[in-house]
Amino acid sequence: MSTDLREELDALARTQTFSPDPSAWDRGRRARRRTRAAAGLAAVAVVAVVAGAGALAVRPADVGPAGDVVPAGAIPSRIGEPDGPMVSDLAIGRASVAYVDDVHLGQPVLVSATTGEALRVDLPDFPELDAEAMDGWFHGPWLALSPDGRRLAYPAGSSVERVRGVTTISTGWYRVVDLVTGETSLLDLPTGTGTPRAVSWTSDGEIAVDVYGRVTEPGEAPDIESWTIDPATGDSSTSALTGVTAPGGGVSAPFPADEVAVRAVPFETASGTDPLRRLPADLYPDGATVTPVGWADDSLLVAEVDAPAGSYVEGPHLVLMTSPDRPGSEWTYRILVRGVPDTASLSVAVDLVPDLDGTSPQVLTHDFDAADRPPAPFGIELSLFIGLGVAASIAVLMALRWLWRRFL
Amino acid sequence: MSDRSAFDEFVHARGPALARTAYLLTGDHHLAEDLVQAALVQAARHWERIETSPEAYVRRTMYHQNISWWRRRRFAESPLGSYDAPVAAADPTVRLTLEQALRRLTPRQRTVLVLRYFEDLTEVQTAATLGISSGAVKSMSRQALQRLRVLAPELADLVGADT
Repeated sequence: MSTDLREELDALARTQTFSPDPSAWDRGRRARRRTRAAAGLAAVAVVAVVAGAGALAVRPADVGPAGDVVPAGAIPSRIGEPDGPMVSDLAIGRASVAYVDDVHLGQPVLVSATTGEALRVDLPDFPELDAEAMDGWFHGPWLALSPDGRRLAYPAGSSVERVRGVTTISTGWYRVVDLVTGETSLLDLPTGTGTPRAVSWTSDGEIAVDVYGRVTEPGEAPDIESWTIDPATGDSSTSALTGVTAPGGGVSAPFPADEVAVRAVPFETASGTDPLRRLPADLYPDGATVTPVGWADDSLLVAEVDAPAGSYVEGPHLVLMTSPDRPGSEWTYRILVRGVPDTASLSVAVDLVPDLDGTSPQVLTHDFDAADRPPAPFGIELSLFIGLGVAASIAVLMALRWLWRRFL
Repeated sequence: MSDRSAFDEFVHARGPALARTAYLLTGDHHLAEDLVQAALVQAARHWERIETSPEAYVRRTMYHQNISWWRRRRFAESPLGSYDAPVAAADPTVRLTLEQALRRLTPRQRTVLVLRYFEDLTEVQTAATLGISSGAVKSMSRQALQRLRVLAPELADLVGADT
């Protein structure tokens, strides 16, 4: 059977002629080149997807100074509120922000410069004040953080109700806390002075206090005097300018007398002129209350601005503004921190403000909350992102395989 | 010798034999030409890898390509109801009857038949070439012969009696 069938099949097959197609070789080689190019592209695509996913996954969080958390720390992009127990060991390391918690009636709070954690601290002799006393007496910070965030100064004393319903504050010393060692020291008040109306630090490491002077005329508001106290020696001396004085002593930003919204911020200069720095009208159409915090450099003031409803940023926030003694071409105005607690005393380690590079995208603060979270590329949870990346890679490879089989 | 000239030499030497096998596989002269050309293009594409034994590669490509083409065309194939109908008695010769009966086989059955009774491969070699088991080759070969007997009873002498 097989022989017969094979013969018949052979005879049948011989009816087929063969005419070679001279283009077969060229077509095959072209297909080979296309295949190699497609394979190369597929490999590049897969490597790009994997490398991109990896880069996004391990990308460092956007941070403030120098693009990363520097050893000295950074100012947080949102100043948090404490949720842990009160800390009595004051060796917490450098702080970026110090404020007095309005909600808990005068509880001092420090924000760690390196972790961004807000800590409620137990400061010795810190005056226990109610909200009315705080608002009525102080016109600037009284819990003052040094420019480098290492030291803390405040008036040590207590509130006294000499007349029923009227609280006055009795201050006996200034206390300075070293936040690295946890040690504290006491400094005498400048001669003839009492409770200050504001406390701050000078750029060269002295404590600056604004105090009420003598009442020269009955019914007139007392003058405001400014003193500096050397924390190393305890020596004190008067200053020509009140408020927060810039490095070099040429200009200062006085603390406001009351919480009235202004459209221009007053400054004092050593020459006796008192220039104004107008607030951007488009940001604050109804003005804002401005309280100086410190100087980031010779002419860049850090200030707390409390803006009314209808402003570009409503409520309290921190800003940077150029002092009016500089030419108009150098003026700048930057929002530094939007999330600021409602407090009567806010102090910032101004040395943590990075030097401005003149570009608006420059990151000035650090998002500590984001640093604690696992990276979320494009807002997608990391594990989900990796899964989607792998699925996308497989889909790309399957599509390429289909194209390969379909057209090559 | 360059790759191109070696390829041309191979095509010139083995092209007619490949075309004959292709015709038995497809049952159609035009499809057979296309099948050979497609397999030769694939051979040119992978020439560096197969140049030591290109014919085996081209034949294997034809077997699989033919089945793959059939899968794409199968919805245009004759309905199963008429599939087992006897070939018209108007066919004058045994060869024409065999040709028409072969067309009624499935591509797998036809391929197995060609490999076993035209290429003279053993069941094991056929199984290795098609990537299936020897049992499957045996089964498909028996089914193919059985169908030929049904389709063309006059080919009984050619394909042998049913066992």
